[in-house]
Amino acid sequence: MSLIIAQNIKETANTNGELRAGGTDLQERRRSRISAGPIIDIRRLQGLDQIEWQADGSAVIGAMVTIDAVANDPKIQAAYPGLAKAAGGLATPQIRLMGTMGGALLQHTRCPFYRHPAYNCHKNGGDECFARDGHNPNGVVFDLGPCVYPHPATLGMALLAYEAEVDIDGVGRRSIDELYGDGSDPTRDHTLEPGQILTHIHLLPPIPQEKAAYFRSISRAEAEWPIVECLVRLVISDDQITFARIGVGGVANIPLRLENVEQALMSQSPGRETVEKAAQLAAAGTNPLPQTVDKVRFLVNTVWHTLEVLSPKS
Amino acid sequence: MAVHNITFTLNGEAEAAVVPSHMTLLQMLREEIVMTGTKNGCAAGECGACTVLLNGEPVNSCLVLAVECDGQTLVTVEGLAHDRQLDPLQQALIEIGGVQCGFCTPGVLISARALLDRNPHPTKADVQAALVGNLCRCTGYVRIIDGVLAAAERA
Repeated sequence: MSLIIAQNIKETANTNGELRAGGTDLQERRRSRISAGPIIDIRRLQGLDQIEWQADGSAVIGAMVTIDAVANDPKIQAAYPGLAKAAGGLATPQIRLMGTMGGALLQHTRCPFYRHPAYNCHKNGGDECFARDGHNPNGVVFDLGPCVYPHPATLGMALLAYEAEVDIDGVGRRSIDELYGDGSDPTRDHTLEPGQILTHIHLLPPIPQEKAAYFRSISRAEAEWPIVECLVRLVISDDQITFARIGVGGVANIPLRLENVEQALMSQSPGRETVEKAAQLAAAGTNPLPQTVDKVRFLVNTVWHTLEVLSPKS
Repeated sequence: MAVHNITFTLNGEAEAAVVPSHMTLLQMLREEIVMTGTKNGCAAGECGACTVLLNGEPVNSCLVLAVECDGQTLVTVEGLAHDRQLDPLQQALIEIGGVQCGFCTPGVLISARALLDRNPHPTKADVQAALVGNLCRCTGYVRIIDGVLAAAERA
């Protein structure tokens, strides 16, 4: 194996190899021999490890900022509380300290078939999804394409709910939707081409009255991949919901926004009945696999619970 | 195979090593330096048995390349005791029964040391949050958490 320590972005883009930022995903794939060939260490690239605040109050987060730094930044906690909660709720303290924002967005699927050297699925040169007909209780409930394992990026889901954009060097600004595509291409976890580098994350100006909650339905108290996760952002004014954004993860091969649930909440009083009715809509459009039928209930209940946290009368 | 000459501080002492590009920090500690207190559990960043302090922060040494440690400061479980005196955390875990098979203990001690260095008076919730990346299959965690809280009280 050769290790190239990149000194600048242009050099990096022109070098053949897999990028290593925090290394928490890549090193696991090296161990299981899913990743081979040269590695380009980008930890010395300048200008990517800061959170910058703009005059309008919005934040620009460098791709090399660690997940821990975002979770524990008091200004991020105040301006983008849902993002801070999602960052602080994923993985373990050790992973959050090493893992970067860019790496978290661009990590590869955690599907055990993809990560097993004996299987060649769509994502590593084959032409089938072994999870579709195999053991798949963690699989999707929105079946959007040939790959049926959920996208792993909690922060992709969070940034989708925050309508963030990302800078890709040499390409320009892209929405989170564009970063992940529509889920129909099973060969990729994101739409970046080899050699392209995500450099910054741009957030919109914060909404002063925003309340946000993040909930992760998991099989232990912490430090586990979610069964379903949900981030809700609400603005409640004069007993009416005037703004709603809902992101969900663990349910599709891309992060999703539940715009139908958002619409159902708008202009409603944030009471028990509103929350319950809106949460039921999370199941609309689901087409689960035989082993993931129960996850539809998890989806509805996770959205319901997350909404209840923010709803003063529920 | 590319190799790299690296220097670093390990448990307060200057160290040097020649490491191949692919070698992890965990492999370097256990196989090159033969300092085997740090344990190899999952080698995938999930169990925390290999936790060490890298520049004061707890990291999974199975996920760090040895070459990344050039010029850095490392502390392993062997570096916790000083002058033949156990770290208060070690003493408390022994007395309270926070050690059974002992395989997770080095990682637990390092994560707990990072917590107490940052927050000398943690709550039970603080301790639980700091240790979520360290799996223990023996103790049920209760006595580990009690031990960390006791060590904090004694300090």
